[in-house]
Amino acid sequence: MENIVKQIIMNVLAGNLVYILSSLPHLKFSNSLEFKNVVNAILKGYANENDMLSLEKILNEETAKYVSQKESELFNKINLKTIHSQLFQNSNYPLLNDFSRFCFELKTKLQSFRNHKIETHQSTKNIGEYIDLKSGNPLETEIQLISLQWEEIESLSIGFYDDFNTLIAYKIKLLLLLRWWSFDETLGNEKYLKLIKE
Amino acid sequence: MAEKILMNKNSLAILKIELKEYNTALPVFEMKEQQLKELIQNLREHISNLRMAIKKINQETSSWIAVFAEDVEELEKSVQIKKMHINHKEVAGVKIKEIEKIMLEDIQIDTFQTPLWIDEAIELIKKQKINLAFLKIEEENIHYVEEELNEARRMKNALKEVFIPETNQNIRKIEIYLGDVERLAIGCAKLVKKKKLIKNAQV
Repeated sequence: MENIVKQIIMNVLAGNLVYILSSLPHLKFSNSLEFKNVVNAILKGYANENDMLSLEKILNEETAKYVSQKESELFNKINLKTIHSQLFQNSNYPLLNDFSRFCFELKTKLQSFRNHKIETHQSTKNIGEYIDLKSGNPLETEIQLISLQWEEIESLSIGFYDDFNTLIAYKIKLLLLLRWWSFDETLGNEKYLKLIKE
Repeated sequence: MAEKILMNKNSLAILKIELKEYNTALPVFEMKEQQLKELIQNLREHISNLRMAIKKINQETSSWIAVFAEDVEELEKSVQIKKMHINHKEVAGVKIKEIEKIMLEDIQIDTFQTPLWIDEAIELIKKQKINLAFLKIEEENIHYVEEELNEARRMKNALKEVFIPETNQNIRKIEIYLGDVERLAIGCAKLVKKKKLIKNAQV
């Protein structure tokens, strides 16, 4: 009996997930102004007019309405800085586990490259020897790294359509885009000038 | 207004001593002017090189400046100047500052957690901070040296254009006056002598 109730609840929740997933803006790997505006407008539509919430927070709040508290807590904790942590690597969601492990490996490779550079005081090795990246300036390299993660999450999403894994993939994609979009020339210049003059 | 001069031998002696002092001081100021000019030229060259280096780094960074918009706490902490040792040295009578050593914070960046762009950004900001610190000191130096140069120029010109010619002229005036007085005295003495001779002859 208990199992049946659980199943019913899961079905109801899954149904709701279909609703939320279909109402969220479609995400693609782009930083065009038009696309940013569309994503921004649709997601901001979920928040109250007076709330100045970030897109991530809006997604968290909207998701919390349709998932269990435990899932919501895990969902809220997902962020790019700690995505490699044990919490995510050992979660109950295969997509999150795999992506977390992928990020852990990626960060480990990057760490080896960076430590080598620090130890030798010069870049005798190219980043391409550690990760499949083309050499470029730091901005180009960061975008390539985001793109690598995007491709990974895309490939991991195959087979997931309307469950919590899909929502996780959506959040990770949104976080990747938000990071890319945060690279703003004007703001960057302001911060750079502040840093060198302080 | 020209100072009234006393037409006597004492004044003449005083003026001659003053002239000697002026003539000794003039080459000193001329030499100081020359040294300060050279110093300013060196400082200008250094400032120009520093400005070019700063501009070059800024240009190189402009293509990837956007990444600085991302908030990374560690960045601000790891690029702080911890200590700056400044020496003072005297060149041609001017105290100028010289940076002996700049010590920057040596914070180990977490190469696992922080984004990759931080490494290059830290190196670059450190370089730029050192350049700007040197530039600030050199601009202060050039300001003091230019003030001192103006003062040396004023003194040199005053000696060359005013004090020495005026003193020379005053000496000449006194010498002419004293010469006239002396000639007058000789003339008087000759006249008295002549009158005495005529008087003696009559007697």
